[in-house]
Amino acid sequence: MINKDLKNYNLYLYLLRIADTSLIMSQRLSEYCGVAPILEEDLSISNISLDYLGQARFLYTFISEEVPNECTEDDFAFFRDDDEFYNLSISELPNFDFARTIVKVFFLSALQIILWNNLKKSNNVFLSGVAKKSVKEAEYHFEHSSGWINMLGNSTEKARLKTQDAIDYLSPYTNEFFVDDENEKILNKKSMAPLWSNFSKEWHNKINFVLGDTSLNFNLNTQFQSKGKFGLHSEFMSKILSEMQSTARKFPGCKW
Amino acid sequence: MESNKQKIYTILSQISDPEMPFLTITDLSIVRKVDYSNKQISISITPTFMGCPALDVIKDDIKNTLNKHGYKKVKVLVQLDPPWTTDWMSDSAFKKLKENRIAVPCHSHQSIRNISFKNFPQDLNAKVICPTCDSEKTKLISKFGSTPCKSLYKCEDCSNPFDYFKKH
Repeated sequence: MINKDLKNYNLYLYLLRIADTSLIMSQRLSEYCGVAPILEEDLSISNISLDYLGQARFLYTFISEEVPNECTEDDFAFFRDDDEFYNLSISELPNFDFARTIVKVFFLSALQIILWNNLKKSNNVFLSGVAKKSVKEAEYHFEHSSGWINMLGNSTEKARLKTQDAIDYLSPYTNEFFVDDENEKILNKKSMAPLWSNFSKEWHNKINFVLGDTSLNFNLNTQFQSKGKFGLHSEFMSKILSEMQSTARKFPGCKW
Repeated sequence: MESNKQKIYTILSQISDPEMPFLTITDLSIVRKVDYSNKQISISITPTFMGCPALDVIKDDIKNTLNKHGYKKVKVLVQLDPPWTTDWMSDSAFKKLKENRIAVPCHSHQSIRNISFKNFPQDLNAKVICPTCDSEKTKLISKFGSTPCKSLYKCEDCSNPFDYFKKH
């Protein structure tokens, strides 16, 4: 759907990284619909999932209206294979348990707040518009997940251990957040988009501010770097895609 | 020209919000701009939330309603910037919300940056007033409610649970 010959290829790739992360996050969180530990949380996670879906849809629609070949937002969601997705690897990891799900929202919403706040200053009108809208939603997600981190982190030993496990399991995947490539550097030079490597300090401050009220720690001692945003995914990616895409592919053009 | 625009606006002010039918889309100030030239209408709307599932329904409602009134060429554009805020809601919207037992957005929203999370799930928006008995003793039940724009509260005086239209 997008290829390197397109005039604004760099921008599209940048947007796909954000949109794909939101879409895959949305799909993962939607797995909780009807089975969350409590009813209120069922509503919360579904609502957060819906916000992510909204962001993805706006970005896909924008790209599909710009590129010369005729395509729609649905083509981006349902008719690309895993090597054409550029989401951060953390978004495709299975939910596993409630702690891991909440920590994932916690990490990603903190990143999104910083990302959207920076994109508000983009000289691309569409991008700054989406950013102004999305930052409010990301703040709400961060507020919600921070509340849970605090509650779980100050709760029973079992809850604390599970949450610490979730942080330890997911933290290596945050290295990927702060890696730039040529693509981002090109856009940055044109004042269209910020470099994600600049977000690192602020992100860690945000996370540690919340963890500071608990006995939980963020200790990261690994150089491991996942490569989802460069199109290299974990084994979980094809499974989540097959579930998400199977209906659309089996009945192309189907309507509700 | 101006009167045409005015007419269109009046028609739009009869279209209900799909999720809160007692409110119109103009009460909510979703309609940002009406353009009319060469029999072509173009209307800009701003969604309350990006993923708002009602957005597509609203778009269709606008087109269908205007078609019924004889306007055939209607284009509905989605405008994100400036982002929608509860500050744009009209007084009549606030009144209708209260009549339907939904607490209106309060203006003491505290920013996430200055708070500690020790009291979770206590309320972050200090004063949400019960739409039934006007008590200030209310408690957050869930930050997320039946639609993306509402949270769930409970009144500790009259014990009624109610929806709160989030300030944002």
